[in-house]
Amino acid sequence: MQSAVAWEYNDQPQPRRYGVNSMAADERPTVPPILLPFAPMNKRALGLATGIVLGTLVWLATIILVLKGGPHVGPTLSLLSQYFYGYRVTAAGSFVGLAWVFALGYILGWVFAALRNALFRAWLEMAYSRAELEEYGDILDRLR
Amino acid sequence: MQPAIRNEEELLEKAVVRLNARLMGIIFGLILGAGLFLATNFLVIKDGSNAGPHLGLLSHYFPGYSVTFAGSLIGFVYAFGVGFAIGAILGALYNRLAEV
Repeated sequence: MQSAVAWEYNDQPQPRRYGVNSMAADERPTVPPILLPFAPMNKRALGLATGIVLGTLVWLATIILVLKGGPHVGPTLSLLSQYFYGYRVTAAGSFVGLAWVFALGYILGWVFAALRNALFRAWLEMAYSRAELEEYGDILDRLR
Repeated sequence: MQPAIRNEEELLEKAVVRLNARLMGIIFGLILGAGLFLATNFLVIKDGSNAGPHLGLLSHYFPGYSVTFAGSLIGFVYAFGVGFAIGAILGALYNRLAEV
């Protein structure tokens, strides 16, 4: 199906389709690859990815110490309980840690993407404004 | 503003940026590796022998690592590996989730 959005550079080599959650695959806009770095980040996707990676990291770090065993397991790692209520260096505690760090990672990733999008949008607006100014800055001179 | 530029803006708002998973892995790996290398050698230079009792606990996860110059090289390799895995998985996961 043809993209709903017209694009003047559609004749560029092999434009790729990138989607948004709310759009069906056929309705996704066709974006030339050269413009893709200027597209916004998906906040939810980055939040989920960061949460999953960081959560898994803490879960693994805990489980490795639990499996190694010993008289007093992970005294240093257990200091995380100062921040993550209910966390302990045990099998059950590793899942509590996973949940806490997943939530923290989600927030970190979401905020990072939101900030990146906002700053990028501001930078783009400035670039557009500067380009406009360069193009039409002498409009009064032309009217003379 | 020109219609073509507005059209570009509208189009960009509907698209989603993609991450290069391998590049993310290399960047995360270099940052973590260099970070551990520098942190280890900073303590070695500052405190000499018996340096870094807390940093030395990393040997639980990185066998062979110690707070010495040789250990810092081993730590760099381990941390690069872990960082690469983190970055690559993060990039790949993001790309997959952003497509859903």
